[in-house]
Amino acid sequence: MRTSLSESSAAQKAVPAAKTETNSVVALVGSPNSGKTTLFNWLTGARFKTVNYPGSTVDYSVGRTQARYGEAIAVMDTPGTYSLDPKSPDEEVTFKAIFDHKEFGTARLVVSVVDATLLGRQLYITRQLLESGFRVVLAVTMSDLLSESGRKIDRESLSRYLGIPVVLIDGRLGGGINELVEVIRAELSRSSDDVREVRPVRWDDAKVESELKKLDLIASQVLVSDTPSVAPKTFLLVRERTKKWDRILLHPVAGLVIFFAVMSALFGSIFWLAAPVMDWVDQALSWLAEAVVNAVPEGLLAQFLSDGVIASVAAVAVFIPQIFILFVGINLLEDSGYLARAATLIDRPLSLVGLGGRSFVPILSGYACAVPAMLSARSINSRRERWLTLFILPLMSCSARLPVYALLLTFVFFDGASWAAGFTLAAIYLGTIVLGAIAASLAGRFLQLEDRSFFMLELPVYRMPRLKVVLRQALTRTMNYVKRAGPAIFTFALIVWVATTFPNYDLEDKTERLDSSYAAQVGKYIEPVFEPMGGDWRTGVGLISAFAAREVFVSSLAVLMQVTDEDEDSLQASLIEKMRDAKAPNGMPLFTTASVVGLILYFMIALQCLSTVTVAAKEAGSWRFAIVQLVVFNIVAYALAVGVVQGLRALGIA
Amino acid sequence: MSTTTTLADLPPETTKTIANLAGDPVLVARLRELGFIVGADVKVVGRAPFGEPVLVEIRGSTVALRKAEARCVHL
Ligand SMILES: Nc1nc2c(ncn2[C@@H]2O[C@H](COP(=O)(O)OP(=O)(O)OP(=O)(O)O)[C@@H](O)[C@H]2O)c(=O)[nH]1
Ligand SMILES: [Mg+2]
Repeated sequence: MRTSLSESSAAQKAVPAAKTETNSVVALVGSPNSGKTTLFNWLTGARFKTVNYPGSTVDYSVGRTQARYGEAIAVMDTPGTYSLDPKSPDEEVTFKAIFDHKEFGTARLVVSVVDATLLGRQLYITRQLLESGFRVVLAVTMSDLLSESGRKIDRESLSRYLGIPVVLIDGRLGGGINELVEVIRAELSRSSDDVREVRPVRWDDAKVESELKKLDLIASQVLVSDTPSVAPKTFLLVRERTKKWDRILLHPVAGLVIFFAVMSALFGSIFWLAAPVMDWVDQALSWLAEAVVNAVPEGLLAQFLSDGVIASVAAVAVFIPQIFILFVGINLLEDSGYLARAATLIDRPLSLVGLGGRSFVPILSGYACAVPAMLSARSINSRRERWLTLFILPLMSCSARLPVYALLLTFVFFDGASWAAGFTLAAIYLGTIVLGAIAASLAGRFLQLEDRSFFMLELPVYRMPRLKVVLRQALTRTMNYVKRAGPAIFTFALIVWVATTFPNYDLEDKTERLDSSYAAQVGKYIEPVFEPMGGDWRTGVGLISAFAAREVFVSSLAVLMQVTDEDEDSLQASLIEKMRDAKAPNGMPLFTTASVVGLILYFMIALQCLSTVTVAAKEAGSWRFAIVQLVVFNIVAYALAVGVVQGLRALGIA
Repeated sequence: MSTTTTLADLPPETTKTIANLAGDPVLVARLRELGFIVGADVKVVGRAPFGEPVLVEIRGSTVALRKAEARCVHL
């Protein structure tokens, strides 16, 4: 699972500039969750996300070995695959990338990455690679987990059995990397004379069975006791510990209760954990605003800076701690190994609506961002399930929506406790799952595509999440978030400020200035569209600007509401105050229970993110799919928002 | 078919040896890749809520399977 597209393209770009004489690449290939990405990160210095879940990498990426390992070698990380007989789109990526890459052709050398604790089974693809004609080097990862149980690998024998060099890797501390690079280099220089034909093997059932049996035997012979006098334990301690945990976490009743507790804690904690930090951020930004206003001579520029830029940035920036906490929570789950259990627990409920357990990880990462989520759907083998998952992913409340909900909930619960806001937020998030389920079962009726659906998931061992890595990854993701949303917020700060300030910028009365501005003049034409959902022209402008990025709704609103730090103790308090005072065209308050519910519902469903549309078209392989999705979600969002607002009003709830 | 039991009806905590794999070729191929080969020992260690997927221990690792896949594994 990539944190963002930009991260993976950064590594892909790293290579073409390289003067690799023959444009060849060394590919890391192996079973899912065997430690390829971890190894790739050590070799190249990249910081791709490693996840304790089989099927986390869904695209190949290329990088160059770090300078400290000598002359650079181009290496390629690939999605995990059990064999050279691909059964899902991510496995196909690997197949194509090593046999027939558009730039590198056939991989010059393959580093077959196998997990020491699953040696017998994972050597299978090593054998297939060898029989296909590749030059292969074996990298055995997770060797640290063996020694705990008093075992080690006899690498000389293993090397002899397979006829290839073997290197032991410790993926946590980086042991063996130097040696691996040396072995790769030696192999590369040796290979120049003999040109082998590389072609994927096709094995019949009998051959597969006999290969697997043979490998099992080899594995049992090369796993030897650490200390000659002591017989090795017949089991691995990590696996025993994992089994104990699974007895609780996968228990039919307790497991389900824990699952819901974990999910509610993830979403509920966003608010109350962030509350104190949010106050600091708010204070700091308010001081900054004051400092800027004092430093710049009074005039249009000062006004633009304080009422445009600072108001916009501050409105969204207060919610960054919440986004960070969301990412920390997701990363903790990813690192621990719980994701595979969660996927197993909800396979059955999800298959009732046409999805499957494999849809869980894309759905969860959809709460961070729909773009990487759609990519991660490549690990779903059934085309039908994959298509339905892609269809509902934009409904998952991504982090761009968090500032919107957070602002509206802060508005509602301003004087209340943060747990109330947290609770409501968790309810919104769980509500999106219900919406997703409804959307999947409805879309399933129209979908002609039938495909074999299966669910076979290896449950990886539990690992203690490494706090440092988790925090660092969460920070990277938060920075990416800021980088993505920042430009849109700035651009719209300028556009909305200009539109709301001119032509009568010299009017003393700010309200009059706004009401006679260009934005208001144009706004009056669109107002009828937004009035049924309890909005006015200002909400309308906010909603339209949200198509640039959802959080721009919040920053635009700050400009439209003319936030100042003059009379309030903080910028956020000022925004809330202004929202409370805002009047709809009919003289009633603009933000009421009904209109806030309408807005939240609208944001839950509307598809306002154009990158999502592009990725959907690419991943589903059809622009029609993406356009139908775009149109349907926006129409439904609007219709439901109008329906609910009118319904609530009919019931006497303003 | 009725004479042989499949992994889908194996009671919990009993270990049996795989006699044969049969069914959809893609499912069977993936099962093999996950370690389900003739002669290997399997044990059901649990079931997810709602009876599926089944949790199976195979050669030291745990794999979750739906009943439909477990039925391909004859014991
Ligand atoms: N203890 C230990 N853990 C490791 C080692 N190498 C990797 N891991 C962990 O194993 C998990 C999987 O690592 P990845 O590098 O993401 O595996 P991958 O092969 O890229 O997985 P896919 O992309 O799903 O195919 C992560 O939680 C890693 O932290 C190792 O040598 N020792
Ligand atoms: Mg990976």
